[in-house]
Amino acid sequence: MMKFIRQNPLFVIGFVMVVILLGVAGIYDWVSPYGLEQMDMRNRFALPSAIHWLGTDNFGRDLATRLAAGARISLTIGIGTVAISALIGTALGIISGYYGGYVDTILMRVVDVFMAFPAFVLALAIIAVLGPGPLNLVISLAAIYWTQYARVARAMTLTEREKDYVAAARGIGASATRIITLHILPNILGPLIVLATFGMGTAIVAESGMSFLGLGVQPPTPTWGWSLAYGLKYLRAEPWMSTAAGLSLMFAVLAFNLLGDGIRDYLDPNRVTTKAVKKAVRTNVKRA
Amino acid sequence: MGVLIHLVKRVMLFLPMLVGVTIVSFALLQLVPGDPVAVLLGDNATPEQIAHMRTQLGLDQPLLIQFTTYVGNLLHGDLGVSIFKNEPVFDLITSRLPATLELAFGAITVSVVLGIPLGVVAAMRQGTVIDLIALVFAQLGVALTVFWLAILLMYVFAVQLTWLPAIGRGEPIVSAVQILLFEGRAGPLLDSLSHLILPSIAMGLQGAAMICRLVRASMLEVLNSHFVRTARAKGVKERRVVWSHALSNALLPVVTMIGLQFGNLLSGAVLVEGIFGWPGLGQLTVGAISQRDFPLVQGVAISFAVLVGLINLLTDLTYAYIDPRIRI
Repeated sequence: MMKFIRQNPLFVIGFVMVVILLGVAGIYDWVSPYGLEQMDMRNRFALPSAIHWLGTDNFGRDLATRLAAGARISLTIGIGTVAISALIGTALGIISGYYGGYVDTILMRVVDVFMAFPAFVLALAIIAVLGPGPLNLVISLAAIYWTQYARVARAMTLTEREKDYVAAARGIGASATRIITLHILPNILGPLIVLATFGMGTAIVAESGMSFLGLGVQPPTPTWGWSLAYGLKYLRAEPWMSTAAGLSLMFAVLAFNLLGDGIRDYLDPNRVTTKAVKKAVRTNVKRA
Repeated sequence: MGVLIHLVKRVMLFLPMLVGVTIVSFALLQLVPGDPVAVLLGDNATPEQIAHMRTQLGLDQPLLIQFTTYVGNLLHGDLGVSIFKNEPVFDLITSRLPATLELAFGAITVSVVLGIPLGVVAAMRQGTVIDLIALVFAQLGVALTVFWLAILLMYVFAVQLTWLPAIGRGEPIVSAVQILLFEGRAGPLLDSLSHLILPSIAMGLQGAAMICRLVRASMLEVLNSHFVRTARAKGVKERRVVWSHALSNALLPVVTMIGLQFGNLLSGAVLVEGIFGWPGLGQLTVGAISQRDFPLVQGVAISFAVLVGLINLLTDLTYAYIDPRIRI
């Protein structure tokens, strides 16, 4: 256990941060003594204290509770976006890479076109036509992020489909669907998991950005982005409100980025651990 | 000759992308659930108003005719008329574009000026405190969201310290430089720069963190290569080896990165311009989307895509120019 922690510090830090985030988002309404809209007018704009851990807003509402609620929304939208975009992107990427030819050319040109737009701007344009709201937010974000999964899945499939195990599966008469789902997919999952982990951070930032502009999840739902925009009104006198929301956002993004870095390092075949080096040296010495 | 062939190839790839971008921006209006005109005008619109708007948007025509008209107009630089501002979309975009480009170049400057030296020093001093600081900066810089950073900078440097202006844009940099050159007055340029600093840092810091990470990794690889060992063996001074021999090679991926970052910068501009009251394309976009001004949304989307496409084309050509291996 200690060895794993020593060898994968980024993974461990990221993992612990993500667990904290999930925990807070999951159980805040059971643990917090305050309701989301419960006001305490005598304690308006309070700074962090034992009573209000993260202080209060302009109505004396408990910021810790509201930010935890924001975490739940951000994580839900992040997970929704990553799940849909990963599913669509991976499926199209594998089909593109496995079949090649016209299918590949057409799909990859579609990917190019989607990637030509600045991601956030295209998502905003889609929100403009669909209208704001959590579901439309997930659709608009998934519509821009599927391309990343498609590219990675295609590139990985192109390498995998030439390998002997795929030829062997084809040789014993396995269908294309079987080869793709049971043979290729498990072998290309690693990089896709890394991408999905980073994708969580990106989706959370994009969601907050949209809510910040008032185009995402609508008030009174206390999203982080909306809390930041709301705190901006009181920035001169009470900067803590937007600072708390900003710190929460940073914590979440950092958590998923560190976890992504950690998983990537862990899966990196070129990574050589100290112990592996020592073992190799010992073996060589013995042979000599 | 090699560069010319590369240029032609690259432009040929750009054209189908333009066609695709046109189709996507055309499709945006078709995506509106229900009747776009009813969505635009609300419940209180009279049938005459609805019919008038339908004609204005060309929605009374069959889909194919709508598309060919749309493409035909685009080829003439006609992006339609904004519903709420009642001005040609093309004029609105071109009048706002210089402000956004100014901001984007300011941000790229911040990214490069901060990111490259920090990355180089971190690679030179691998495993030391400086390296650790650079790594922490790289992680935190990426995690800092642009709009929060913008708010933080505004609070510290404009509200508390009052060193820099909080909102607005001074004289356009180009005219401020002209004033300096032809009239000898430096005031407008200093004022413009003071307005530019905070939004540029807000937009550029994330890029600086990414560039720092990339340069560090790239430098570590290059510093271990044979030509660096040769240069050292020949007795070239370490400073020259690092900053001249190694860095010029390590910077190649950074050129691509800067090109790719441009799209992110434009996305960042949408968020940052509103905070700093910067009169650019970003604010125009947010306004268009909040009002659901569909022709303006389509126009902005297509202009952003063309802009990013052009910058990527330019990046590719720069890359081919500075790295002869690409042309072979």
